[in-house]
Amino acid sequence: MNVIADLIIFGLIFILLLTVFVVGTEGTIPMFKRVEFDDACDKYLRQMSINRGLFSDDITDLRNNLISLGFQSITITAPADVDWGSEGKLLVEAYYEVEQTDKNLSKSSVSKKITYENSTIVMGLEN
Amino acid sequence: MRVITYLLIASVLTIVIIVGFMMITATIEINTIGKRVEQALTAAGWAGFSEIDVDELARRAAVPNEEIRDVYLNKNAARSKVQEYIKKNLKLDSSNYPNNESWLTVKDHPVTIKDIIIYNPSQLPATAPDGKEIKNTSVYICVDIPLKIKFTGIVYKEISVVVDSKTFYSNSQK
Repeated sequence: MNVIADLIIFGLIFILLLTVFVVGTEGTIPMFKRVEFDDACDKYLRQMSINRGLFSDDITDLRNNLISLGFQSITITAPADVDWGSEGKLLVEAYYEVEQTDKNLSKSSVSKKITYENSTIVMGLEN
Repeated sequence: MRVITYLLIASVLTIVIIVGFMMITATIEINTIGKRVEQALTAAGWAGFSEIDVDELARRAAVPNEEIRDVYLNKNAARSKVQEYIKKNLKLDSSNYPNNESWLTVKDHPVTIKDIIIYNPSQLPATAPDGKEIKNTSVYICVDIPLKIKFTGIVYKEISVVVDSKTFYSNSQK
């Protein structure tokens, strides 16, 4: 009887730990994807500001970088040639797949949209 | 009796695990938003560098030593420019409330722009309010961002950045 009670209780604890682990992981993946995405895009905002625009090579590099991080359907909007002292905006939109567990405890793949948008003044400033 | 003890232990363990995970998730979320705000502020700080003090530049262009021939900013104009781009990048309205397009999740509390300090070469070396050493022409920005924390409500997180021309340029090479 005691053994059965022990097994039931440890079984419940195990199920609880597993549930919390799954929910916790699924809840935090979007945050980690956010950091990866922002870090990748931010570097190119600086490039755009210093080079007075984002060249096609840079756009290709950024796209490839994001693909390697697991992002899809990537749209990059950035000026190619901006006058010194004018505004430049980098807008990057992409999607990524994340697995979610629904109420029936079955996993399904969900596509989430992610956007990076920051503006600054474009100027080459070498010291 | 033993079953009751085990159930009590299991209940306490359950609460500890759930609370622990919620705290970890909240911490990760706060750090993620914080990093995103830092990037937006850095872009705004760089915009401030467009407000060069042309008169000072003309005077100092004749200085042959590159080490001391640094950038002088028009402080008032730079501060206005930085503020303009903070609002643009965080998508704030005229009262600094996040608008509907803003990615800040709390929309009914304003962002507080606490400090925008411009450091020109004549003030260097200096120490920013957050303790960072200032060695080059720099823009220091400090804001308070409203965040919603479960079971706590709205809290303000202070986020500060220092944007200097040399660091911005070298970071773009990474």
